[in-house]
Amino acid sequence: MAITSQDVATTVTEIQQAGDLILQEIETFAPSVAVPASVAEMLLDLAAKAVAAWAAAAGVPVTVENLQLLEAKLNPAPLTPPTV
Amino acid sequence: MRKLIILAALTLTLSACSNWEQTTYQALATAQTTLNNAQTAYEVSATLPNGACPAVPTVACIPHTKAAYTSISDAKAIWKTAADAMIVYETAKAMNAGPTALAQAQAGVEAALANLGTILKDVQALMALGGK
Repeated sequence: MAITSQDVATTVTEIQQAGDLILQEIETFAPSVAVPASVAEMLLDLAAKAVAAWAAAAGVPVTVENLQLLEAKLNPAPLTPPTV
Repeated sequence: MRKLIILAALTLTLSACSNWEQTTYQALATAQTTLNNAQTAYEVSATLPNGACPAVPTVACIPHTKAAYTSISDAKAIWKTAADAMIVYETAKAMNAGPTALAQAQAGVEAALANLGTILKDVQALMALGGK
C-alpha cells in the first residue's frame, strides 16, 4: 500500500506532538531552566532521524532473516561502567 | 520543520504495508537507531573529566552516570527481548502455526513492545538533554 499525503501529514503532526511532549518532560525535570532554541533544534534532529529510520524500514519485508539482521545491527558492545 | 517535511515526503517514494508486522518492524528499527545513538552519546563522556559533558557539546553527549548506564543497558536488553519475540512470531507464521499459537506469539511481542516504550522514554529524555 502506498503512503498517502494524509499519512505524511499525520506523521508530521505526530512528530510535533512528540517534540512538545519531550519539551514538557524537560520543563518538568528542570522547571527553572528555560528550554533554549538549540534544544528545540535538537529535538527536530532526533525526530528527523526517527523518520529516516522509519522510512528505511518501511520497504523492508518482515522476515526472520531481516529481524535477525536488525538485531545484529544493535550495538553489541556493552556500555562502559559509569564514571559517577 | 522544512527538513522534516522533506524527509516525510521521501517516504512517498517508498511503498509500505500498514499491517501489524510492518509497524512492529518499524518500531524496532526506530528504537534501534535511538539506542545506538544513545550508546554513542554515552561513550562520548567516558573520557571527559568526571564523566560530565561540556556545557555546549559539539557532538551528542550523555553524562557517564549510573542512571544513564542503567537506562540504556536496560533498554537494549528489552529491545532484544522484543526482537526475539518478533522472531518467534515470524517463525510460528512460517511454520503455519494455528491462530491460537500466532495470537500468543503476537501477545508476547506486544507485551515486550509495551515495556520497550516505557524504557525508551527515559532514553529519549537523555537524548533530548544531551544527544543530537
